[in-house]
Amino acid sequence: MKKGDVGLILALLLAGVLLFIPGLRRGGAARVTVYARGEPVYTCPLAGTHSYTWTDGEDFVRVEVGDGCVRVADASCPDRDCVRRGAQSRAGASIICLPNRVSVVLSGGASADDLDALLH
Amino acid sequence: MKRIARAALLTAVGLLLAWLEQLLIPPIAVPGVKLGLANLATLLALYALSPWEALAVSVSRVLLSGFLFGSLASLVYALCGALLSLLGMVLLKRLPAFSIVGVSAAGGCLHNAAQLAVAALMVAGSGITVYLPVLMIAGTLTGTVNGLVARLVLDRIGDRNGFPKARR
Repeated sequence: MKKGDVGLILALLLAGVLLFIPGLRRGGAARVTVYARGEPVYTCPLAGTHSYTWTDGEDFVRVEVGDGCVRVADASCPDRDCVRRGAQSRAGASIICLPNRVSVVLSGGASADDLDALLH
Repeated sequence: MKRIARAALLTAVGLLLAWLEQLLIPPIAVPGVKLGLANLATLLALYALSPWEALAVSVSRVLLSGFLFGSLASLVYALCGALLSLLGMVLLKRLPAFSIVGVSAAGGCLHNAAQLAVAALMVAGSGITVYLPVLMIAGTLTGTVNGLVARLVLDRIGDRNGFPKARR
């Protein structure tokens, strides 16, 4: 191992840590939005109980909102990383199903009195 | 003929490592967080053989493990990550300041970062980029370990079994 290596490794790790810090300032979320293939397809408040299933042929992702958090209940992807992600409730948090290119994003709660649900 | 055999051997090693990594299912269920153990094979190819053979090993391994363990979409991300990572490693290898350990650390970091960047483009608006710090750190650490292991391996088998002595 050379001196240059140590510097490089520390620099990379430091960059990672620095990028991490902005993510710590997160409060409660108020809105859930589901994106599929880059387009928003569903949105609802984080409050209450909601359920939405995205399908495309054989593929599907089932999103459930309840008890102040959102989770992916089931999906058609092979790994089910999105299901294992569990329940999310912080603003800016997201659950992503990469094979299906679907993501569930939580956003901060300014006005919770706009749309109640939006389907495309 | 010998070149094909050597490259195939390393590809098989990479595939095995990728499979092993699958068994240690990631504790953080973040999409695409892989330790990058399989990069060891690419690294060995790069230092003991040539950049072109490293490219062959890397692409073959990514394609095969994509067909065996992953989905078609994950193939796109993985290929981009592997190619950019290899490019970075080839460039860094030329600088005398870095040894195999540093090059591998950077390669691991770059692999994850590039993979995330492509995924972010394809799943736009998802805020997937919040995972960047974790992936960068994980990639750097795994890359460091890979580099250390690779050096041990090359010190042992260099000049035998058809593998030239490592060019550090």
